[in-house]
Amino acid sequence: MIKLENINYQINQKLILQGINLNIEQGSTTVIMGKNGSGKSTLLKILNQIIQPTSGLFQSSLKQPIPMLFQKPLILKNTVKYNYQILHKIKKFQMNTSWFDEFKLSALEDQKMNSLSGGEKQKLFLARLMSFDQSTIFLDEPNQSLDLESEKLLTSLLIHEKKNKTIVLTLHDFEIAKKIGDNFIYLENGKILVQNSSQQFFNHFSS
Amino acid sequence: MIELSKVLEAISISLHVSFVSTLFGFFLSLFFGYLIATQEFLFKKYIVSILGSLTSIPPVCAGLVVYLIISRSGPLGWMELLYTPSAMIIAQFIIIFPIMTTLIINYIEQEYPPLKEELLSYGASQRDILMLMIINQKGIYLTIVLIGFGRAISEYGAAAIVGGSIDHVTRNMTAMIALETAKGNIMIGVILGAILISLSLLISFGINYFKKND
Repeated sequence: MIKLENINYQINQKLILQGINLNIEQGSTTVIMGKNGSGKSTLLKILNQIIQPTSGLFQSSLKQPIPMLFQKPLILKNTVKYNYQILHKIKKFQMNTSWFDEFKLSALEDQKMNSLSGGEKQKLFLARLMSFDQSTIFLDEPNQSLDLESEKLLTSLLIHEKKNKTIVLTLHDFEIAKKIGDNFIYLENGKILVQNSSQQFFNHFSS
Repeated sequence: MIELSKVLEAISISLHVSFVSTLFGFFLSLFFGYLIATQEFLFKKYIVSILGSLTSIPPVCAGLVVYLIISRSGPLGWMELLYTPSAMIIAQFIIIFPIMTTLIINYIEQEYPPLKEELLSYGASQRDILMLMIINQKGIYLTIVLIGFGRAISEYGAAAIVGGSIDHVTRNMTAMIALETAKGNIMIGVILGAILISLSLLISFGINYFKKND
């Protein structure tokens, strides 16, 4: 579905990603892990064609970028409901409104964005993205700012969604990664340090 | 003693000229500011730097430039704009355009890169991105409009050179203050000055209001 061969990405003379080889199969869940600044978000943006690699071979069955969850998503100075709906108006996307209730946002719908906590905002961003009903989902640290309960909700939703979707996400949390991932990548200084399926990957870090 | 109608006329001319120049200034600043901030092109740095320098252009010099262009022997002399409100609008536009454009460039250069990446993934066009940026930061853009309007309505030199302070036509508030004070009608000058200061204060309050409530 998405294939990367010897991908490099450089910005202002600095190499962010080096020699990335990666194959993302349709229907799989790929978890990209690594320390801050290791290149996780950049790799995710390359996979979603938001930025172009400096060199290397990139092949994707996606014709153009698709809505994805960014680390600092767009916030418009308006109500929660407005922020949920506004991005659908750009291309008149069909909106799946069930995600609004799924993330228990109905009680907050008339509140202004600046009155929301970090976790509540993150739930809105997740619900907003999921409402696009895409068969491929790119998520950049989806569990950031979430409390334990919301994190459990996110994990169970991802476990449910992965049955019929291709998911690529960046994470710091090994526990969540273990529960939802099929393939794992660990990045360090822009290079893939470990790339394996579940058991081998976690064995590497436990040894 | 000066008639009230003349004072009102001067206020009306000031408001009309400054309003039109601000309107043109804002939309053109928005267009060029957005273009300069979001595109990479040759001499971009120099253009930004020249615009920055022009923010402090003395109004008299701006007026002189416009005068040379629209005077009878100038390249646009055939348009017969000299000593008309249109000439004053052009002169004020030249003063406020670099100020508004520089403010817009500074703002868009900060806001655009992260917004662009996300909005492009939602299929947004450049126009959609600009519209969302304006909707999201109405206060900032209104503040820029008020800064431009405040500068336009309070300047004297440029409008005086190209407007000529013609009674009923181009005699705005600042021209009338200068004229009446020179004639010894200090009281009229003080009253008009007070009105002008009130307008400036109103604009300052407006700017603070939008900053607080945005």
